[in-house]
Amino acid sequence: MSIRIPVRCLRTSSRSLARSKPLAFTNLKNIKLREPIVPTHQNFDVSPDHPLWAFFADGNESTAAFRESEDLDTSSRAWSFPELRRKSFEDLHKIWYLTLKERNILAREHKVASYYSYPKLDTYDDVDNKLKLTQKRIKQVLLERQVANERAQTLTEEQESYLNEFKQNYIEAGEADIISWNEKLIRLQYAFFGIEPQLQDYDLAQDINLTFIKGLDFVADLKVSRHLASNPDSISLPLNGVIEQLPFLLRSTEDAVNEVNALREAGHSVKLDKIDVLPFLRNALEKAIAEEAAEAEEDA
Amino acid sequence: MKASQVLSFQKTATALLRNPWQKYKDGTSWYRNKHFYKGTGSSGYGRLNSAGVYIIDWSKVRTYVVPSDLQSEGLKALVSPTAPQIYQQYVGYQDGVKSAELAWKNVVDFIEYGQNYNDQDLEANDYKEEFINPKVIKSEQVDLEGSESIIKKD
Repeated sequence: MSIRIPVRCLRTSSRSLARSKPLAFTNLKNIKLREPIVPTHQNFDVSPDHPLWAFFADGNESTAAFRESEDLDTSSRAWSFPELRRKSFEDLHKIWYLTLKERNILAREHKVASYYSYPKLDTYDDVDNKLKLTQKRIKQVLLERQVANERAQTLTEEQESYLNEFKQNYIEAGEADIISWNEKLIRLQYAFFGIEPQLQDYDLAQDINLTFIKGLDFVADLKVSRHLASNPDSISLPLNGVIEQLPFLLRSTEDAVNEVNALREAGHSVKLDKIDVLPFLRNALEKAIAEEAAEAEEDA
Repeated sequence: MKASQVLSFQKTATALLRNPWQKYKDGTSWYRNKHFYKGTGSSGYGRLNSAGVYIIDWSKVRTYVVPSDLQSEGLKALVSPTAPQIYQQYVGYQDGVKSAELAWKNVVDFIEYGQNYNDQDLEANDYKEEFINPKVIKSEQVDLEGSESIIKKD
């Protein structure tokens, strides 16, 4: 058994590392020195696509670390309530992020300016307060909408009577008016039951819910009743759950009637268990969306 | 004058009695045990497992949806000082914008007349947008007719 003892090997290393030639500098006049690099931002290349440029007022064309107070937009005002109330949710979303970006820029400039003991820091705060006010108002407007919407949900009597009246009018509408009534029906589906006018707009996880099933029931009932008024005995009622109701939402009434009759003859028309209803709808709509996309591609 | 005398002008007697206790907005006490951590009710996007490793639950992690065409729009963070001020007036609706009646009318109008059901010509109307309850208009008409008939009788 050997025990290894660390020994300093100065005896050998000193001999090998010893200088063999005398110490001498090379000719310093032959060394070419480059220009000294002045430490300013102009001497550094920053990619124009760098995401941090979003924190500068003029983006990648900025020439100074911060805007002076005279260059700030102090005359503009915050968005007012009436203006915001007229905007859609998408527009409010955009305004929110524009103000947020602007506030980020101002906060950065305020910080940098304070490092330089810049005297007019209040100007940054004044602009920032206007932006903050806009953000608070956006929140308030959204709250107002939510409150109004929730309160309108309580008007169940008015809703029912309106739906019944609509159904009556739709069934009795003449051939000339039916196009406008169909347009109204599409808006009604959207307003009451959240049924999207375009298939590709569906968020299958969120939009297919109990309200959707209610809407499907209403729409199928409406269309079948109108069809039966002009062609009695073409289909026997009642419709057997969502399997028979869905064709009325996706296709024209006549096609839907034929499809339902074919389903019944083939014995595929089954009353689904409650737990199977939503998955069935999601599957069927997914297929319909895929078919529509394939057709659109063929046309293109 | 001592500051304590100002305290006599409290809003209510109970507020005076409660002085100087203050409470959080959610009603919980300001003063708690030294080990108590109130927090903000936020955070918590996962849990520690038995090995002390933090497991992130991605469904709890916050996501921020930024509009895709943010710069292309004509919208700006602030409004130009030359842009005219818009005024809104709600007549005959309880609680103004938040009225259930108005929301319900908007839904019906949307179904009947389409997306631009509420287009008012602001310039012609001196930048004033009016939302008048149809019931108010009706009752005014009835009043007018009534007064006319009275005049005729005279």
